[in-house]
Amino acid sequence: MPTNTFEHIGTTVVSGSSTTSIVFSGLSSWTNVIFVGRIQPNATTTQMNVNLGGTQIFQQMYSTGTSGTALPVTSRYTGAGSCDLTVNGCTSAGGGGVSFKAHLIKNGGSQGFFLCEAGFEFNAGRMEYTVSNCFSPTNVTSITLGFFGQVIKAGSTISAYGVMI
Amino acid sequence: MATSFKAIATATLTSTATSITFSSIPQTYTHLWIMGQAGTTATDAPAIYARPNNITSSSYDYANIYVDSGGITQRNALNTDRSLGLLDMTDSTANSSNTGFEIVYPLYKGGLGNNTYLFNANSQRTATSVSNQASWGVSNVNDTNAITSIVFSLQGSGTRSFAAGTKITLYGLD
Repeated sequence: MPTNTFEHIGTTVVSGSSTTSIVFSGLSSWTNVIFVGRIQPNATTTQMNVNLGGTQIFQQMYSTGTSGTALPVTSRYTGAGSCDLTVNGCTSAGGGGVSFKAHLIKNGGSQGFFLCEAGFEFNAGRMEYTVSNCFSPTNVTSITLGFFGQVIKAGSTISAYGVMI
Repeated sequence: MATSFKAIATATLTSTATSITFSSIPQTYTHLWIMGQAGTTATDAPAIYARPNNITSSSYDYANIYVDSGGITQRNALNTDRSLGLLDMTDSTANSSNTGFEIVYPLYKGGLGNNTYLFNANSQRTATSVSNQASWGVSNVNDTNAITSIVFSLQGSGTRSFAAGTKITLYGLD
């Protein structure tokens, strides 16, 4: 078992046009896991999500203000079988997909906190930045990332790095 | 520590400079991550720019969550030359570290549309805590090319300088 390390677990690069999700499994060996990536839906506008397993809840704050204005930061909260990581959809026509980084904090294997920052261009140059915490009350041994009901575009890439302390 | 988070280059200023450049960035990693601390000799709160491939036109869009003594707000700008949203700094005493920041460039070699990247920053603009500010956000640049260079500068077209002691490190992630 690795100790005192920041180790590349793996990188998934989507190829073809039929991938609907990206799964990282075998996460039991790590104290915490860091994810970095950029993914884009293949065709239609949709939200990015993560599934940690178990009944999950999430909280978010996000910026999707109109250009040139300063607006109150908005938040939302819900419980679900998976967690939204973005509020709006990511159109495949513009922008460069959803860029994100996330930390999976495993709390000794008893719970999972998936702290995620995600940002992207979603509508004719309009940007969104979202900070989320997805919580699972069970041990997280694998996660599934993707878009609700949509195929992931080829070239989309996610890397996972394990931290063992 | 294992070697999946590798320092590519560090720029440490021993005297003032109007810009800091990371050039010939290796195309052998999957993602880039920058951590830095910066000061300035300017006193008028110039914003920091971090321009991939030194694109200086109004090709940037950003959204951020921004907090200072006035509260918390969200901002969104299109077609601006501000490459990092609001990330202002000022220091009349030429402090070398009044702004700390990180920037993450996922998939910096391109292949998935425009380059889109995340940034976090905290700036102590004066010696009083009420002037602290923090910003978290995303920038997009209308450029699909691989990022081979990143140029840091300050708002004001080269008329303002980073202070000596400013230190920025570029990391590559496998």
